[in-house]
Amino acid sequence: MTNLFPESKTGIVGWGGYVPIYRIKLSEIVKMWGMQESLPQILNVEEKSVDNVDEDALTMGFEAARIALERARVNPSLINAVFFGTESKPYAVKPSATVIAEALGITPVTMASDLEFACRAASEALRASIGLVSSGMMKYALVIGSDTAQANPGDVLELTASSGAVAFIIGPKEESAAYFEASYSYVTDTPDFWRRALSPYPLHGEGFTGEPAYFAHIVGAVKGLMEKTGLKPTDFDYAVFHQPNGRFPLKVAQKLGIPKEKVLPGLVTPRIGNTYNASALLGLAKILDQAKPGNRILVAPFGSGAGSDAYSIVVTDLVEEKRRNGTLLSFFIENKVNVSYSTYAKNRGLIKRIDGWSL
Amino acid sequence: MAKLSIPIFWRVRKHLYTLEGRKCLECGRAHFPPKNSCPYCGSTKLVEYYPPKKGKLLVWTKLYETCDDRSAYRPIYIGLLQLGELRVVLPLTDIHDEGKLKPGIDVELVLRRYIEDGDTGLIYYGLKARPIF
Ligand SMILES: [Zn+2]
Repeated sequence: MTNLFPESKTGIVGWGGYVPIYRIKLSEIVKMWGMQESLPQILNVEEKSVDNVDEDALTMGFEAARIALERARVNPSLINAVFFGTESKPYAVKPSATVIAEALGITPVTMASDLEFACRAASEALRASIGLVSSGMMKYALVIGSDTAQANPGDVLELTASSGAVAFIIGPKEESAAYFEASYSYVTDTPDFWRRALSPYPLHGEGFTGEPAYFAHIVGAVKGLMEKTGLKPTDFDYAVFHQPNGRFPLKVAQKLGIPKEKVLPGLVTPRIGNTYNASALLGLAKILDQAKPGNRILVAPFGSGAGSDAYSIVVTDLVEEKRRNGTLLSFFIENKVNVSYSTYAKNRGLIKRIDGWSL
Repeated sequence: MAKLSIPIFWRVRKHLYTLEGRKCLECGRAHFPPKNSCPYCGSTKLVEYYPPKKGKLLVWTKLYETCDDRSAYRPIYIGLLQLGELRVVLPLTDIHDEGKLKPGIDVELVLRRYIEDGDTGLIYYGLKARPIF
């Protein structure tokens, strides 16, 4: 690659992933709603993560951000932007980013906002942060992707919609565990998935979710990145795509001519479900937990509505030291307790109660 | 903890988010919540003290009687913790196996929901302790 893009001044100074401890087996949901028994196998997802009653997108985002900060070892007051990408923010109006910024000691001299673009808002935040840092406007920015994804009980979405969070501190390349080589966005107006303002659950446009949305946009972004940089599929050691289920990322890799051996190390959905804004970026966190200096990673998150961003990321010598400074994502993936549908329903607020309920 | 008023919560939010306490420059002991004078020796020469995020569980108990807002959290586990130089009482969370909840086990601070003011009011956040089983 001959051209140096502005992205290459910036990188990932710290990263962190978090998954709640509870899991529900997809077979339990299938049994509950009388769905086709082979669905978990077709989706290639065995179980999905479930948040505790006292968790939400904000608390999970805080936990991931704290791990990222432990790895970054930077003074929190030097972080001048906190972006929180989610589609399940605890408040319709009142930013989650300010609570996290306050709790981490980042306030008051900072930008802070919650971004929405289905599963892709955190990725948009990543590109914006690269711009802010590479321009010299600030030294560090914090990007968080976190969701307690909603699904209509009994809808096929309920099989995968799960909970998790990921965070990255973007800063100068010299301090980074991995730096950005180039990035590329690809966005159109596509009616594949939406949730109206006061509706508790999202709907999806059958026939729009696969080819015209997920596949068209990821392929558009990745091919755009490769044209821009001259990189080929063989130049990448790992590839991470948005993971709405365990099948789509392998299929899109095949379309792009990328062998599945490069995708499997970053595939987390079969164990925890689709964590929406955290999905592909948790895959990236998992790769950073194992990659070697010099490895090149292709990352392409996707969000309905619809859009995808493709990044080329190169791992540096600092990765091993930084990895040791924070909890590995594999701890949260392995450390799990399976729950019944009734516990899941209670934790997810699916059981309707009224005020004044008491003993 | 009783339901907090908005101004009271706003004033103590940093303490709930970080457990910012005070350390006495005279007798060297730390305390939480922060007071204007040392509860042990009465000195007013105090500095901020932030405990580490990991510590030990000393003793615990559980509450079945809760206010309506927290009935979904029942039972509420409460622990006395040693966090660095600080002794502090906090709610415990992610308790799925009470049998493993023994004095001396490691705990880690996590930010969680404390209480919600109905369906339309504020959500109050604060640190709880998660046992590392
Ligand atoms: Zn004293």
